[in-house]
Amino acid sequence: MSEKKSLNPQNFSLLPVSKKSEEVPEDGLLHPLPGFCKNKFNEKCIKHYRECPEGPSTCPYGFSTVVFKSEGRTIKWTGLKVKGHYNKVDVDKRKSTHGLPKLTLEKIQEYKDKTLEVIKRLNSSFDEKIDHANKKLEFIQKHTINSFHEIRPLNAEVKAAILRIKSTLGAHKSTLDRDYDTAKRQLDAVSNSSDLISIRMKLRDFLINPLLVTQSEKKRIDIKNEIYSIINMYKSHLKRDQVQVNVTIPNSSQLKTNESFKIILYVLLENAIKYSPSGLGQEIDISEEKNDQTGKYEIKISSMGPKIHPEEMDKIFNAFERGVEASKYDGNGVGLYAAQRIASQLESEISATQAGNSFEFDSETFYSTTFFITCPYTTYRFNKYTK
Amino acid sequence: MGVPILFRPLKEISELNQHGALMDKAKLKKDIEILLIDDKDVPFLEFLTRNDYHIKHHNDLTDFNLVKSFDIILCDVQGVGTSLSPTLQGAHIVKEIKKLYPFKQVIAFTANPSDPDIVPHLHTADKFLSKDANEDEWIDALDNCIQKYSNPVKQWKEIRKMLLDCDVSTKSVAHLESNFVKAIQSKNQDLFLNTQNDYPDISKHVWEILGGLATLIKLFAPS
Repeated sequence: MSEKKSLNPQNFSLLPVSKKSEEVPEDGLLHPLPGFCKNKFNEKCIKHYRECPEGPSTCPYGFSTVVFKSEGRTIKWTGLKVKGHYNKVDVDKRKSTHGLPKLTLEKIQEYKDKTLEVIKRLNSSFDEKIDHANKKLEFIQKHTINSFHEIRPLNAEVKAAILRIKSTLGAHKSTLDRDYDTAKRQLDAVSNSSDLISIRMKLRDFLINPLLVTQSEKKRIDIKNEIYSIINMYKSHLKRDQVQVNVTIPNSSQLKTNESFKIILYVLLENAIKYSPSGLGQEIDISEEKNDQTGKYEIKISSMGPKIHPEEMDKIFNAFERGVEASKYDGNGVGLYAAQRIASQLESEISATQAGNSFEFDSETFYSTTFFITCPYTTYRFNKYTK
Repeated sequence: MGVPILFRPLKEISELNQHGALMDKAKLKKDIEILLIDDKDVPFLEFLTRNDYHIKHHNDLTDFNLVKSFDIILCDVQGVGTSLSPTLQGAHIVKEIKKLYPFKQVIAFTANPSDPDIVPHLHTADKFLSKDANEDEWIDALDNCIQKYSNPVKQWKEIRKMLLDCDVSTKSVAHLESNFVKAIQSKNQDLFLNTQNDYPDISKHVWEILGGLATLIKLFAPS
């Protein structure tokens, strides 16, 4: 099939093709295929075009084909009437070919140079266009990288400014009275947003350069602390949407793993918050389970969320793929993909299930959804002092 | 002519097991000198200084001798060291510092940790941070480095490895270890650093590296 397609002379359309069949090719113009030829692309023709030698030959339907090679390129002209190289009876009995001019081989030779010149001109024009497109792409990439490059120092300025304001506020706490609490709350909100920018930048870093996942420092991560620091970043969202997060993980739970593990917790918790219906007093439950038999340690994040159709279950971990229902919410289909990639680099896994529990709200059905992070038990540690 | 070194009683590094842990944290913070290399203003410098870290800011580094008197180095990966390595920039500085002063702690920080030219070199630093790390992350990183740096046992174990890699005889390593322990215990760096003539099998280059330990031994001296 693909061979047929590649042999179709129409695919030479990179070259200028004459619109009128009676027009004599000039300035390297190619002649169009007769309609007859277009409909008759069959085994015989394919064989002919595959095997036709350099120079003139006759196609199975009596037309002339002229092949020439130049600078490693093979050019085939076909559907022609070249003196001495076409079957006059077969060709002339077709009315559609009556206007087709009769050419000589000498004339064809003349066209050859002109055609090559056109090809050369077109090639350089294409090269120019591709070059231009590449330069544009490079500029956009550079600009994007530079923009990201600038975000971090700016975010650092914001963080430092927050600390300075906090310190000033603290010094005037007694005189500010109730205004102090308001200002402190506002400042915390700015601080949380700044932390969210940082964590999203980290997510981007891990996506662009997966090497960073395992190069990030290996340390003991207090699961509960980490979850609470994420909850803290979303404090205002949770309050606004009336969503509550219940964490039933002991203080002693620690994982000895790379810092990048925190991104997995962040993505799953952020999703649970984002997809929870707002204003209904919904709850997100986070718990853990240790299984001595399987040697696995599991963190479970359960919430009510939009339907994930069975055929979508695996796809939600693909880049830029989202469930049909989830697509109604903001997002770009990168979070779960990144989390799964990080997890696999840390010998862990993320999976999801949806149970039968459901309810309808605002013409949408929400289902009980649980995401699991499964890690090797060896990374899990109890803090012996707090056990 | 004293007792030949072969017959001197040897001290072992395990005698210092408690030394690092017993160090007064506030005193350590006060005594530890931190070099910050960044071509731009660092927003967190004010905060860290307010939190009693002794940080000296330099816009660039052209001579590695400058590093000698510092214990911890904070180095931006981009925009500095361009005269030494136009491509690797700060990553080159980090690499060289760890080569010349393996026991000094180096924290690399960058605005773009995903830069593919930089990533392969980041592991040479003891820790790396993104430029917008928050106050906890900066403090956590610095305190961790201070703790690692001021632990003479851990430090010596690394040095011992380096000495053996440099083909220094095990006998010399044992004696050096003993001198190191004595220098820390008696808070007198000369007991370790002025013994160069006793070890003909240690090259000048290795002694230069060991010379950098002066800043570590000094930490244990009374203020």
